[in-house]
Amino acid sequence: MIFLRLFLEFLKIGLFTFGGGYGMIPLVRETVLKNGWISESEFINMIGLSEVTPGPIAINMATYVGSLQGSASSLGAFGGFLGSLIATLAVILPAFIVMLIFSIFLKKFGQQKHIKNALKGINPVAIALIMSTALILLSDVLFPINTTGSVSISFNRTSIFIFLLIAFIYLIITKVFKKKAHPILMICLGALLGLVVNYINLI
Amino acid sequence: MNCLMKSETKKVSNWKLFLTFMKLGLFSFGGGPAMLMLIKEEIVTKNGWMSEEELTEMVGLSESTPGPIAVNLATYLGYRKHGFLGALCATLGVMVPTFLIMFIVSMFFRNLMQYEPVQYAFIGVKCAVVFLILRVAISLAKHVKSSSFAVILFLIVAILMIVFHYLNIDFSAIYFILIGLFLGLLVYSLIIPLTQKHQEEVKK
Repeated sequence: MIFLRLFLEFLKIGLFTFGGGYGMIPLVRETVLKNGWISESEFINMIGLSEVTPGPIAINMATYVGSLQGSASSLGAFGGFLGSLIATLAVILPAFIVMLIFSIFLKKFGQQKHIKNALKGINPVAIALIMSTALILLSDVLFPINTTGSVSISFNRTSIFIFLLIAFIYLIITKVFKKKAHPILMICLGALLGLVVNYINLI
Repeated sequence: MNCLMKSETKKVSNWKLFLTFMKLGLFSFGGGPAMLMLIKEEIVTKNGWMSEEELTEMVGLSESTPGPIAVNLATYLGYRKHGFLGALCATLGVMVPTFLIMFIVSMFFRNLMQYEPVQYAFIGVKCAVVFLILRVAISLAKHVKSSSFAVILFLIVAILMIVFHYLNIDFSAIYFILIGLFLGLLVYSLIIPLTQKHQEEVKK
């Protein structure tokens, strides 16, 4: 049953994510790929969509995946709505319950010595997960490495060119003009460069 | 934590909680610092539901609890104002606009991807996404320097994740989080206090 599966998977994601939206990316990626829900290419597109739509990225991703999986069920469009609702509720449920328990019982939850100690172990791991996921995605988009059979690397020249342009413009905005580069601006820049580079056949 | 009690007096309705957090959900893009600015303006400056110190404390606390910071904050503040129902209203407030907008996007997006210009644009969007994630990862990694324990743990997990990925070894990120939790407790709650005790005894 897809709806139960969506609920359980996103409950797990909500429970094991620390440090906000980006902390969720490694686990969501693992989950959608393992279940064959969406491809890695569509997963990266989904993050792009989450950046340009309002609200926490975690909710965006749960809604999107839930909608696609639900609408593929026998219930059709209503299934899509149901799926996205279930996934979204599941992803915020752990945060809601933990925070409620904290509000009711443990006023000094965050100050507890052992919880602080456990977090000293969790934090570096959570950051390492984001870093390794970032590097894996970088490689998959710019120079995919194929390890099934004989190992081979291919280079996506267009993507590498656009990536370097984005990095260059980002550096100019932040270092030369001393302005903040908002994520939406960077996504729109990416879209624009994607159109320009591909239509003019720059590369 | 005493300061958490101060600004309890003002009465607000559940409806107002719902609307305020809906606004936060609706006008926060891209998460992170941009969202915090907005939260500060709505919660501290405009409504006076919390002092700035309380908010800073809350954000720190949110990092030790799972889930999005906006949800943590909504639940906590909602509960303080109106108990369980307040927590529910505030949390649903954050959820509803985000959910509806993304649901509509998800219905149209796959069809849109049939068109060539959209496909081309998303070649660039992918590059931007990868850049953004890498940027966040690097700025987070700068915080790891605090102790050699953290640095070693960070390096081992990052390398293992990449190696497992390319060798197609199925090892969930959840296990890494649990191992981190266990090691944090082992080192900071057990080994370090024990060695300190031992050193004091040696000195005596």
